[in-house]
Amino acid sequence: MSGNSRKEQEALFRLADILVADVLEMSDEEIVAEAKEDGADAAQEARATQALFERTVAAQGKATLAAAKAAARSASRSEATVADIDREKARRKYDAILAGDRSLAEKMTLAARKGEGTSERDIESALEDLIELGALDDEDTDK
Amino acid sequence: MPEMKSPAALSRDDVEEAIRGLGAADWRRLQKVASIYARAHEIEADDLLQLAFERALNGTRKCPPHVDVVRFLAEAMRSIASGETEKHQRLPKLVPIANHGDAEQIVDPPDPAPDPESAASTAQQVAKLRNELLGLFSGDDVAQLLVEGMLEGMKGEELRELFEIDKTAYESKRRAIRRRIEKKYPKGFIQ
Repeated sequence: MSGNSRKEQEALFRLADILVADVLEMSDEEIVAEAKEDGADAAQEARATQALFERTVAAQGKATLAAAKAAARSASRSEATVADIDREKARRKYDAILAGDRSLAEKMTLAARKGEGTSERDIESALEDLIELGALDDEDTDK
Repeated sequence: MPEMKSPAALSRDDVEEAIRGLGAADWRRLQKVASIYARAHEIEADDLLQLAFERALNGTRKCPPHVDVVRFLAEAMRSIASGETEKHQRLPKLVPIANHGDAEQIVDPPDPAPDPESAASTAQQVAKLRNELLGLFSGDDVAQLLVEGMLEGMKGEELRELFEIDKTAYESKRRAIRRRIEKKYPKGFIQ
């Protein structure tokens, strides 16, 4: 906004501030009397505004719940450690993944050739990675 | 015994409870404030109020314990409305741009400084509105001068001194000014 239009805009807000100050300083009786003067039903208007607030609370509650659920899902996935795994089942799945991934199988074969055969620890570490990646789901774990 | 420090802001639950505990007059007060800060073409009173509730509840705006919750929400609405003003000024515009001989519509990303054309147009609109506002009080010199003083940022005491009116007379004039503006601009007068 140019300097001039910003100044003009601020002038409108200054006027609005003074009008708002009047509203905030009015007594409850004056507020109700003014509503009557305007032909408004103060009680009905209050209920409508209250309802708007309750809808905001409910919407925010839903959003918070969804965020909490997502966080819990993510935490539970990362907390599923190799200790929770049904080793037999997971090993079968690991072998199946390996069988389906030619380049991974080749790397493993290469490591074995170099005398770096796949140790139990390597498999556990790979299983942990697979859990994190979501390749092993709850069915594969004891949880 | 060490002095107990009061928290810097109300908790979410406290804010919720304070708002829920408002009486009928306070709900109406909030509506009136929302109507004053609403911006005729950009944000309606109910949307403004809902945004203020949202920010109060999600902690984007913190309510200090000593501040009345209605005043706190009023301040939040002002802040949102003035933020909306800024946002409106920076909206991206669709402009035709020649591309391989064809003109097609593409998004022109917002520039932090609006183009002189739209700034001039906003300035014109606001200047026009200013004249309209003053015109509402033609025939009432005191009210007209008060509105002018308010637009210039003069505070109540300064205005009272300048126009040599007492507090009661000032408040009565201020109310009359508000009522007339509210009736003329029920959806807000800020552009």
